[in-house]
Amino acid sequence: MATTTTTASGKQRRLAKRRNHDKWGYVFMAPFFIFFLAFNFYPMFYTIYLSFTDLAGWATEANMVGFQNFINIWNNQLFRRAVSNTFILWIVNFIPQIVLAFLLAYWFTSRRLNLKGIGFFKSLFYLPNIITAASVAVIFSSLFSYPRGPLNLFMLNLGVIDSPIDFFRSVIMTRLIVSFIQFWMWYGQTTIVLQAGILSIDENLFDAARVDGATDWQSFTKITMPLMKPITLYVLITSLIGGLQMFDIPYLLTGGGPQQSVETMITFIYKQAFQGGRNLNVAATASVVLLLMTTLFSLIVFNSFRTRATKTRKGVK
Amino acid sequence: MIKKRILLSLTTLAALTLVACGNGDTDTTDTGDTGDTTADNGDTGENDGEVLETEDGEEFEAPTTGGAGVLDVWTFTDEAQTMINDYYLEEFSDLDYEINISIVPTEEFETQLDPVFNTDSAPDIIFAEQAFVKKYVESGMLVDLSQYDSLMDGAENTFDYVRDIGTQEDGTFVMNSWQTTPGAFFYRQDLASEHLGIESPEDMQEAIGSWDGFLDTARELRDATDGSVYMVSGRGDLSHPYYMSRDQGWVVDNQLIIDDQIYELMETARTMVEEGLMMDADPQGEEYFAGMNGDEIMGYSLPTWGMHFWLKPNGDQTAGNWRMVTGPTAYFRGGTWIGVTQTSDMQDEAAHLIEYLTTSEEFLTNWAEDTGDVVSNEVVVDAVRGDYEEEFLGGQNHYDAFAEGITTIDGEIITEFDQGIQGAFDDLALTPYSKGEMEMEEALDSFRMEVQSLYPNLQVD
Repeated sequence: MATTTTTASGKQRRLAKRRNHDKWGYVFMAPFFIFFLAFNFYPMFYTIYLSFTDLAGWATEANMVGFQNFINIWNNQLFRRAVSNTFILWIVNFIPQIVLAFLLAYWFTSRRLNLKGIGFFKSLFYLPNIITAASVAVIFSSLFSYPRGPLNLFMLNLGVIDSPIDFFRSVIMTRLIVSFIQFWMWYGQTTIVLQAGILSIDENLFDAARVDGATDWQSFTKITMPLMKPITLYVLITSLIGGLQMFDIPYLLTGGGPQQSVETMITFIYKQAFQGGRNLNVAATASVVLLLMTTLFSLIVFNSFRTRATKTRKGVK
Repeated sequence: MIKKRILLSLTTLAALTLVACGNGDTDTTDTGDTGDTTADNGDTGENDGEVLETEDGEEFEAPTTGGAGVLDVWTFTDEAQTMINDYYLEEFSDLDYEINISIVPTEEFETQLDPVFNTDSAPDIIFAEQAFVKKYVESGMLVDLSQYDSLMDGAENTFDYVRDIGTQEDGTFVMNSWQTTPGAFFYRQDLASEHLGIESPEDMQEAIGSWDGFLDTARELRDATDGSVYMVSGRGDLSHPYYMSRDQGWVVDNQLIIDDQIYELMETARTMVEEGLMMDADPQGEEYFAGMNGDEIMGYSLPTWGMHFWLKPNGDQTAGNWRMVTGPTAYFRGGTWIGVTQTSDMQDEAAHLIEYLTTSEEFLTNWAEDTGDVVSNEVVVDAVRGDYEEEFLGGQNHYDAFAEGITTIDGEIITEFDQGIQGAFDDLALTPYSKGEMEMEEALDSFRMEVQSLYPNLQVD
């Protein structure tokens, strides 16, 4: 901001103008806060309120029941199963996802490899994320369909299997398919975020390392990895939140089956709220539990990253 | 540097949408709002409301309510539109109000209706089908129809089971129907003569009149064809007859009842899968419908509407070869009831429409003659049942055969929990047990667990 005005009156005028501008800040911020209050803040507290009531079915008036809903949900086997399912599905999808994303991000940014057509491949890997979940579910359910789905026919023709496999009747297969879809939809996204993280590292560090005779792998593990901690933390937490809220793919693919193997927390909440006895209180309680779990796990992840960071610093000293 | 920043902010943006999307999924379903888009002069059958999607991505218009002076009808069957536009409005062309019909796909019907039911945004008239009719009947939020004398007079001739289902536990009559939906076993006469030497429906009925006979015939068929022709398509052809031959419904006195017939159903289904007697196609799946035109499946258990809406359109190449018999047990499946909401400000007008659709003998006779639907009025059914020859069934009188089954139907076993419980039973008990994936008790345990979760107030064991 280079200004040449030096007169006192000019200065005052400018200041006055600035104060006026300040007001606009609130105006520009207002839409966010209005939407936030109406669509995030209020529903959240209303959900917490509902979790302490008995509102279900056709009832229109809610009576307070204390912590009864929380006791019930603790004893609800299906909810427990939903929690463990959610973690199984998330972990099986996340570990390969972060490994592959790191690898791709490393390749894309490696100056020594100097790959061609990076932009093309980046868009290609990101594409699955653009397709709506409903379409993805339809595609995969027909791909794996039984007995005459394309994959079954392909494997039969190759002689890999003797009789068609009913994928969606198998607990392991269904879980693997759901995890794979999640992996497939999100690894492009993760790659791009990680790549952005790598690109933001000061080039001089790599140059210095190279001068000192470091190999590619060494500069990756000794420079890239440590400096990527904040962005990895970000990926981990957003993926955890997204993973805990896994809904569309399992619900559209099999509706939670077979044998409740891909019933996640959100499909449980959805079914409680809109099917059967329409138990809004149970759904609200499960949502509150989900909120608490999300907070807790995010804090754990956050803290584990921080303490490790301080420890290494001490070690260096 | 700038490029990097743009990339970073873009990725953050994308990441934010990631989080936002995650949130969205839980919420979108209940925002399927019933926007009161049409103004007071809402046009009949012309909705410019928002467009929604079902789970399968099929688009439909959000149901609307037209405000004062408009009779709002929410339904899931386009038959309602035909009945109202082509019959009711023809008969009563000088009504001083509009009728606004919203058709919502069946699978979305409840999620659209439930949030507004018992509020001012609710429609005046609702349609409900067997799977969930009791939910609305027992809600206590429908108008008692017994206050309308002429309607009650007409309903005298309505079949008992139809009225039973439309009646609350305390005896209040709130919903009535224009149809009955007895079921039958449809089989291929050409395949039966070729492989079993059975030449007439009477002989067929004799052979499969009991479940033992049914299984024996199925085995005979398998042996005669080296397993290339199956008796039925799958468990869907077994479950409905078995459900209806239970002594008690799914829930009695707030207690989950697993009737002996349910155990038998599971055993029969497993036997048929193990011995290769049925194709084990998913009900209403691709192979299920494909079988109607092929030579791989001997027969299907279908109700009145199943013949018209499923068998005929999918069996155009096998038309004329089909015959129908009662099968191992008489049963019914489906059916649509109509009621008036208590929040309606046009209850008398609504009752007038229901009276016409469900009790007018003139209308029901026309409807039976025009569509072949088996109507709910005993007098009308008796008058018209002799006059039918169904080409599709090689000239057999289906109406007469269906009418035969009506009197054995017991409406008492329909409960407000049927939809949730039957869904859970099929997913968690019948299917895995019949395929040999689980043992009986294990399967029933996970079924009980799901039922308990869906209906926490029920006693499940």
